[in-house]
Amino acid sequence: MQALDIALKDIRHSFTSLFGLVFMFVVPLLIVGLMTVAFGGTAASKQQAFSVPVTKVVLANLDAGDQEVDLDPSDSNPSTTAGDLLTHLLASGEMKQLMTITTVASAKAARDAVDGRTAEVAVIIPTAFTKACMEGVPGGAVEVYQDPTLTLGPDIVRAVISQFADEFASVRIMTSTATASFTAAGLTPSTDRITRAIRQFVSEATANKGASGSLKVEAPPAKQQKSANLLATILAVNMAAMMIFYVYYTGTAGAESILLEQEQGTLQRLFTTKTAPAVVMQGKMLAIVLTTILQMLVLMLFSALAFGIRWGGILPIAIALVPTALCASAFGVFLISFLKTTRQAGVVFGGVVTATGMLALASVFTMSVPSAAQLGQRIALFVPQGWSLLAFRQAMDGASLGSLLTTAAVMLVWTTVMFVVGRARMARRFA
Amino acid sequence: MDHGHVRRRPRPHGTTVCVAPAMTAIDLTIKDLTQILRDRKSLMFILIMPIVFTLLFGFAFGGYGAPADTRLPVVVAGDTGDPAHAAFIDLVESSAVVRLVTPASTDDQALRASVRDSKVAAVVLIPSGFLRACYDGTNPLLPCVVDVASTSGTTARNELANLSARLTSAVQAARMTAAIFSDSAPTTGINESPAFTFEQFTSVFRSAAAAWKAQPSAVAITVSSKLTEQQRTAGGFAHASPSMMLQFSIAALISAAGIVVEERKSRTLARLMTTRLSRSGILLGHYCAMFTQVFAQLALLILFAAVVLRVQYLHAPVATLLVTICASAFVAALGLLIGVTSRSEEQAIAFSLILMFVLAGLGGAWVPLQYTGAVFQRVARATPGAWIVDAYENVVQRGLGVSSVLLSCSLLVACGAALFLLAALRFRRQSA
Repeated sequence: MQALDIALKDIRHSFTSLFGLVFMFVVPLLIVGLMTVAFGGTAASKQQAFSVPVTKVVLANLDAGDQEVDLDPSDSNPSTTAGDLLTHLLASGEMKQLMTITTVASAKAARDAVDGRTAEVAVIIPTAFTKACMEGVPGGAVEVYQDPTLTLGPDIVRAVISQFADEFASVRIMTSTATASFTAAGLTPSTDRITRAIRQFVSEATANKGASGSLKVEAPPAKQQKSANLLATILAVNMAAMMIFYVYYTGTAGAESILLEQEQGTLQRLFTTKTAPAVVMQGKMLAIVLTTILQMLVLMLFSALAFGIRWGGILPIAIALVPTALCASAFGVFLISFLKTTRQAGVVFGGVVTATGMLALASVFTMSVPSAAQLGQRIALFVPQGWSLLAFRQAMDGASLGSLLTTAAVMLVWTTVMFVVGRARMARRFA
Repeated sequence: MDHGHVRRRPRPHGTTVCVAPAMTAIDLTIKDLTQILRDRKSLMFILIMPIVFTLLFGFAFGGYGAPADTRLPVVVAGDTGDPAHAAFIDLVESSAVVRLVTPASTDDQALRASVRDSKVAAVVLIPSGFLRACYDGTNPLLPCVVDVASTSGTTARNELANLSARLTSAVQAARMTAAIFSDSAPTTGINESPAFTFEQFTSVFRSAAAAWKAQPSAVAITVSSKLTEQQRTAGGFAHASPSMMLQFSIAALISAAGIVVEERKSRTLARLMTTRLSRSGILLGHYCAMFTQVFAQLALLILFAAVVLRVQYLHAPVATLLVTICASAFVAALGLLIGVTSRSEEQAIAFSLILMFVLAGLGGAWVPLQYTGAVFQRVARATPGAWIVDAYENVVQRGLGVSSVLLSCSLLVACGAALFLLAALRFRRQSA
């Protein structure tokens, strides 16, 4: 009962401190709110598409054409070049959400626009582009001149141009392969027949167009229940990350009350009563665990309602939440055991908790960069916050109970080690 | 300055008295800097953490020069005997976006689980009898296990869709050949077209799939930078270095802002006010200390990045110096405002950390702004964090000179002046 009394006193103190409340609830929600704006809406909003910024493209079409066949019989211009078709495609309505096109007369003007930062990417269609498309000869590559700080926008432009060139290559490959086969078989089909076959092929290929092409996309087993929505994932992971980041702050701030009471002399007075030091520690620990649990529950509930974040089933979330609360509390006790005054605690707050928290967040910061994501995930596992984040991500992804329990077990190992060390140091101090 | 000297001032009735020299703003600056330097833990924020995080983020975003192999790992499994399997493997091997990996197990469940556990970005399963089905006239789809709710998954899906389109075009080539063959080949005795066998179909399919490998590249990438290729070897560090400098210059304000708070709480400020040092002198003294701290921090980090990480800060030294001075002026003003606004050291820490998160986040320190939405980018580009990162990137990535950083520098100075004014007003009210 004494431990509970101490815990209730500490909890009351935590929840009546405006500064504590701001750090526990307002700041994490504020940052996730910022993220929501960053990525263009809530996970539950109807407009769920990930908002890719529009790339400013300047285009110089230098294609001389000189082809024998009309590349676009549907228009009145008999000398439409591949460069014209590409220009038309890039400036078309379906590309408007990805890029804005400004045309210029020369390659120099296009490059100058990027150098002067009025455009992000310059597309320079060479004079021999039609020839390269029709005959597959080298020297007709489209130059994509880009700002060195960008990758996403230029990648999109490059992908669109590659797909365009692929369509020409398809026809070319089909014609040459078929012709070689006929020659080998001693056949000489009419040009008209081949043209008809190619038109049929092109219309079939056009009908097949779509984000997934000929793929039948299937979600990995545990993710089938989840919304296959990139925006929802980004917001959910960011919310979990912010929650964990600030829960560990709460753990440390809660443990700091030991130092505060020591400085104010109330701890010494408590030790003169019948309450054993071990019971005082239990009460303190209980207060931190309950405060962090309450903090996480409020943040999860609020974010579910405000941002539409799905946290997963009750059991998986409980498996992630309880060890996280224990680990954050032990983390606080461990850190505070190395300090003597509340002044030193400031450095711990700003330094150690932020540094370890940011290591854990490395997996979130690198999430948008496919090449860096794996390294970020590995680095995060060097700190307890990284394991807590992993547990919540597993719970949200509907991972198997086995893998979730393994993560929880690792967190409990962290908890035990940090608590044993912290408690031993505290016991020595108050002996 | 004459520290430690004792002046003798004549008294009206002829005697003299010893008085301490009047304290100046510079004395206050030196006192603050000594206090910061004595607190060895502040070195953690000023130097150790920014270096560690620059290395961490630099390596995460590609490390030195051209990143090793950042292509996404994918598995092609299923019916290995089907000619489409070998053809698709060839297509994946020629990709610049995805790379082929050999799975530990070819069991269907294990392969699907490897996508769930992020061991691979996608698994393409070639169905049994895929090409035969194509020969028979159906259009079978290629099952692709991928998590499209992740960025890696979406990127891999898009690339695999492109590669599958090439595979489909090879199938179409075989179909077209079959159709024309049936029309053109001499009829048999019973007036029937000769059959285009599955073997012939496979042969044409293989030739068409192989032809994709010989295609010349359709796109040539060139970069707008005044730096030579040898100078552009900093890779991921060219973004990580200015970003972490921004972040930790704000974080390092904790100590300096704490001194201002402590001065007020311990009533040292009240005592200072009784000296000849004016309010503006006190404020200026603290500001100069913060400016010197931030400037020295940035200078050391720039030196480290230039020498160790080969980030091209020294390519345009005047531009780098100008950005560093203006960034220091802005961050120091921010620190002064935190110092005079905070009621306790805890508040100073909280304000510093919150501002660090907001300004570094908006500045693109963690996630480069190009990966964020259009609205966010517009807002972010109007914040000082983005100006600092952008100005440094003009030098170290775009290879530009002084003229390219003038706008950012002007904005930073203006912003810093506004913050200083706010701090002065607040300080005046406090000390009135």
